[in-house]
Amino acid sequence: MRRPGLVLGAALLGGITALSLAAPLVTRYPYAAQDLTRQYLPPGTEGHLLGTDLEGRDLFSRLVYGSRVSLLVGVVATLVSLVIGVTYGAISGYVGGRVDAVLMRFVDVMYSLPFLFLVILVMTLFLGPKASPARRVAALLVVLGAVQWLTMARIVRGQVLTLKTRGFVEAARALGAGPVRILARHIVPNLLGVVVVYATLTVPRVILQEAFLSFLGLGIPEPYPSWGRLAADGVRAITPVESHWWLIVFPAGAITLALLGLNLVGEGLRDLLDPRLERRSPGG
Amino acid sequence: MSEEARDRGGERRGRGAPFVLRRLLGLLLTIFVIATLSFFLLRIAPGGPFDEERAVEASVRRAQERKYGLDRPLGEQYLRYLRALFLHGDLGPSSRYPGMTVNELIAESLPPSLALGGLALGLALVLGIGAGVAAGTRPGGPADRAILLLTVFGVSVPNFVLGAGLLWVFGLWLRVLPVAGLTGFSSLVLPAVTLGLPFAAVIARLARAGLVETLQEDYIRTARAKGLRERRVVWGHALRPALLPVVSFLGPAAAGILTGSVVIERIFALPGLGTHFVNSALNRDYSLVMGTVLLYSVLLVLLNFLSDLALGILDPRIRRPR
Repeated sequence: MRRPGLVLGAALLGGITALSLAAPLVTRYPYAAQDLTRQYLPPGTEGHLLGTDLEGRDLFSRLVYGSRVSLLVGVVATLVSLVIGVTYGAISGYVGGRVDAVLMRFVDVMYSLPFLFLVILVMTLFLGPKASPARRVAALLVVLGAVQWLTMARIVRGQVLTLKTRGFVEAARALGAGPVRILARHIVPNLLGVVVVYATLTVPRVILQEAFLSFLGLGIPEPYPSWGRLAADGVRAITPVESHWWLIVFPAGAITLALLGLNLVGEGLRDLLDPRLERRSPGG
Repeated sequence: MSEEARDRGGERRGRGAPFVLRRLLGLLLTIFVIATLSFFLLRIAPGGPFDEERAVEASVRRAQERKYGLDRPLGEQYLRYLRALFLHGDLGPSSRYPGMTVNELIAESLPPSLALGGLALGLALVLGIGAGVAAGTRPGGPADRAILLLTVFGVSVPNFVLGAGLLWVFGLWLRVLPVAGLTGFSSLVLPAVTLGLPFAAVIARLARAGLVETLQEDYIRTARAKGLRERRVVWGHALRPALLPVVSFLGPAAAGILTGSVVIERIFALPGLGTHFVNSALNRDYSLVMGTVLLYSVLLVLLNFLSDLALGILDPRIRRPR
C-alpha cells in the first residue's frame, strides 16, 4: 500500500459511520433507559457488552448513539465555519488591495483573541440550565463553527489570489461576467479540493472542543450522549476507592479512534493535494 | 517558512521603536475591545449576580446592587468600569467573594496558573524539538515513522482523557505523584505533562518539517563538505532556521495552553485562574469574569509579541527593511 495512513483512516471512519448509521440494529438497550438495579455493571455482564454507568444505562448503546451526536456536531459546525471562511476569504482575495489588507488584518487580530473563552462565556451565560436542550445544541453548533473559520479564510484567500490571475478568470471577465458570477462559478469550484481537505481536519478539532466543553458541563445537554460527555462522566467516576475503568476507557478509545481516522484521512488527502499546506494546531 | 511567519515579517518591516509602540497601542486596543465585548455580553445575558436560589428581600437586594453600582444606567456602569481599569488598573470588587477585589483574587490565583502554563510550554518545546530533530535528520527512517505516528495520537487524544489516564497510573496505581491540590512542585508535574504533550506533538511536526527542508539547502552541503560532524551540522547550522515555524507557532500554542489549563486545573483541583473563570461565569460574578478574560487576553498579546521578537532574533532577514 502506498498510503497506509489514508487507508487506515478511511477504514476507521467507515467503520464508525456504519456503526452509527446502524445504531438501532446493533444495540440491545435504549441509550437513555435508566435501571438503578444495574448500576456500574462491568463489561460483559448480563448482555451489557461494555458495562453500565451510574444510572444503569448501557454504555455500548450510549457510545453508538453518541457517535451520531459527536459526528453531527463535528460536521455541522464545520459546515458553519466553511460557509463563513470561504465567503470571507474569497471576497478578501478577489477584491484585493486595501479591502484585502483590512480584512486580513482583522483575521490577524482575531487570531490573538482567546476564542474558547468567548465560547465558554456564551454557553454559560445565554444558556442556563433552564434553556431547552434543542436551543442549546443549536447555539453550540453555531458558536463552535463561528470560531473555526479563521484558518479557512486565510487558506482560501491565498488560493484565490493565485486563481484570479489565471486565464480562465480573465476570459470570464472579458465575456462580461460580474464579480459575483466569477467567484461563484469559476473560482469557488476550483477551491473545492483545498476546502474539503481543511474541512476534514476541522471536524476533529470541533469534536475535541465539544468534548472539552462537555467536560466543563457546557456541551451537549442531557439526555443526548455525546462522546465528550461520556468521557467526562467517566473521568468523574474515577475515585481512589473504586475505579469503574470501562466508563473512561471505552469513550476515550472511541474519541481517539474517530479523531485518529479523521486526522489520518485529512492529512493523507492534504499530502496528496499539496504537501506544503499549513499545519494546524490542537485545542483552542 | 510558514505563511504566518512571513506575514508577520512583513508587518514589522519598520525599525525598532515604532514597532514596539505599535504593539503597545495594539495591546491597549485589545484590552478595550475585550472589555467592551465581555461587558455587554455579560449584561445582555439573563441572570444576575444576586439571583440566588433563595429569594432575598427586595430592599436587601437593592442595597447589594447599589454597593456594586449595578443600579446605575448601563452606559454609566460601562464608563466607570473603563475609567477604573485604564486609570487605576482597578478591576472592581468581586460579588461572589465579598470583601475581596478582583485584583486580589487574581494576584492569588495567577502564580499557580503561570507556573503550570510555563512548565507545560517548556516541556512541549524540549520534547517537541527533540523529537522533531530525531525524526527530521533521517526522514522516512524508523524513528521518523514512530514519531509521526505518536504525533497523530498526540493531537487525537482529548487532554482531559490524557489527564485522567496519567492521574490513574501515577497517582492512584503507582502512587508516586499527588493527584489533587497544590502541594509544591510535584503536584504540578502531572498537570504540566498533560497540558504540554499535545503541543509537543505539533511542535515535533513543525520542527521536523522545517529541518527536512533546511537540510536540503546549499549551505548545509557546504558545511558537510567542510567535513563538519553531522551533529554539528544539524544543531549548529540547520536548527536555527528550521525552528522558525516553531517560533511562530508559539503564539497559538500559548493560546491553546491557556484554554487547556481551564480543564486541567479542574481535573487536578488546582486553585488557579481557570477555576475562577468558569465558576465566576456560572455565578455571574461580572467583575471577576471580566478580570480573568482581560488577563488571559493580555497574556496572549504579550506572548505573541515575545514570539515575534524571538522570530526577529532568529531570522535577521525579517528585522531589516527590504
